[in-house]
Amino acid sequence: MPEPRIRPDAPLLRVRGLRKVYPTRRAFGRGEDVIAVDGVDLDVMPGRTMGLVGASGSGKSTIGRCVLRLIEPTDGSIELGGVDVRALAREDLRRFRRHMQIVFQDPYSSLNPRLTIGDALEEPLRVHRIGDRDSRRQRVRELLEMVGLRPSHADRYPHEFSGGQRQRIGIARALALRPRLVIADEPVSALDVSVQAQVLNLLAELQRELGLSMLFIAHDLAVVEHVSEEIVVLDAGRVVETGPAARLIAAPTHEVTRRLRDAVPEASESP
Amino acid sequence: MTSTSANPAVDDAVLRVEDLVVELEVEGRRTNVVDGIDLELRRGRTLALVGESGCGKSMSALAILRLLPRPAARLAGGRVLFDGQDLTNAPVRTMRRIRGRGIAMVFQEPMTSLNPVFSCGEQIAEVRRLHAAESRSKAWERAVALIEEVGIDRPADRARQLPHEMSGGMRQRVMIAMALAGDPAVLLADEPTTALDVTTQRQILDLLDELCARRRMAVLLVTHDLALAAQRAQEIAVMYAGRIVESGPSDAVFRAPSHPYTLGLLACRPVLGKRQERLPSIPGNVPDVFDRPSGCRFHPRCPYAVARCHEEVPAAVEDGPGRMVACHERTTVRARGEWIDA
Repeated sequence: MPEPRIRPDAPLLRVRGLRKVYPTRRAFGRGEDVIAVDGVDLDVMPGRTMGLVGASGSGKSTIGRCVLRLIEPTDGSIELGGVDVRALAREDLRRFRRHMQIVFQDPYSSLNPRLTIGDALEEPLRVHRIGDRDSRRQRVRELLEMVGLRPSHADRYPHEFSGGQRQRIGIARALALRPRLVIADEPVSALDVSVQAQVLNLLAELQRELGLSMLFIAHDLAVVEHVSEEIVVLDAGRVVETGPAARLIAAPTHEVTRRLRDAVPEASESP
Repeated sequence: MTSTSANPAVDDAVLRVEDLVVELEVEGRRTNVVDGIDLELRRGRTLALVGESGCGKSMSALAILRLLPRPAARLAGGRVLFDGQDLTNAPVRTMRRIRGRGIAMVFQEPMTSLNPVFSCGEQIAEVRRLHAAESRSKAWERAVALIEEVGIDRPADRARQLPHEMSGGMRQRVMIAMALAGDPAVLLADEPTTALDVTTQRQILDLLDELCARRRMAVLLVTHDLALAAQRAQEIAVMYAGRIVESGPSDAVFRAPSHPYTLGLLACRPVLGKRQERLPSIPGNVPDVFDRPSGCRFHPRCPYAVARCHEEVPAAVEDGPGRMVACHERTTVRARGEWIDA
């Protein structure tokens, strides 16, 4: 089983020429192919957060899923810590996924309603055969505290939690295996503004404390700016602009970036 | 809003909600999920009802149309005055006529409110047939015109499409077209853009602004995003745990909030180009409706709270022209004018 090697001067995640094409079939003959991702390059350095921003249909979520091979890319290369992710055979890929985890937009639909939170958090540890029952239980308590919940929450079920708390559980679950890379796919867009702030702070804190690399996917540029050092702007499956967060927002060069910037509701301009 | 008596536009009031109470009963436990709120909607203007999930915003909107989820929730007090009539005790037949033709509603998730097996045009035309008693062909014509009015290209082709063949933004436009089909005087929009991305969100809100002005409709915009509310509405009412804690003209409320909750909602939204090490946040959560704190319901989360706030419910008092606030510490809050992060 290949292990990722972390070098501070080299990208942890290196994506080159990523393409994802969905062929569409009509009743007669072939329809037009939908090109979801069209030749994307990305470098995420160790311990850094890269923001991936674009409108719906720009391909940002597809990229995240391709990196984890939750969906198979059509073309291109993906390396994590020097390991060719696309070359991994099924079983190796399954084991390798402990190094790269994902946080979804809606944690409710990704949690099994019949499992207690403790069982849900323990599951990845069990699947990857990490520790014994006691040490796993200990790790679950640690994880809950890490995301600002109480160890006693382990015995409760998903429906007993608010949206913000569920997202904390989603984050804890993603961190259970101590991954190197976390892909956060619209982690706060389903949450109230007030809860968004709590979850964004938590993500930023954990990223710093654990030295994680993060690919942060969102449509709201203000949210992306808050957690990312570097921002990549996507449109129709292609990268249209990339740069340090502050520069990109102060002086966007591409029309799409300007449009995303202008769409953020600003308090100042009341009717 | 309570204190509009000095306003010349008062005649434009089309819908007035007075001391509205909605009672919720679950497993034998009772609570007032909406606990005596006042709202006033005026022609050609937008009022934003702002607050976190679980504050009672949607329940208030549903109560206006008497569409509360039965049997758990029921209207338990207050009046809803529309067109000189109190809707809280209006006969069912009257309500049926008012829904759609007088007051229409747009929901958050258009996919769940549209029928998946009928074309968008048919669904809009049905409203015309019901409310305007139009013939099939006339209603279809009108549906196509409405689809065009909400800014959809090739309306005649789009009218024949099924909901799933459209994007989320387009479906929300269809929902709006459907709401407009009865030519309502009041439009209740419950988080109409929350499921959409920012660019589409902006387009939909632009459309609502335009319709509100062009049709002189009164719009109630329910949202959790105060920045968005301030940008879109002329008046704001901030709701917390079933009560309105602050209301007034949006630019005034925005420039100088008097309630700590309003300050908190404002502070926690990231502002473009002003990255902070840590975003301010309101600690804790909206309280469980069955387990609300004593005194001011916001006190456990409030950085300005003093002993009095734990015991005494703050009364709503006038606070400048057209403004109302319910906070014991309003003078201190106004003077300091910022959220204090824990």
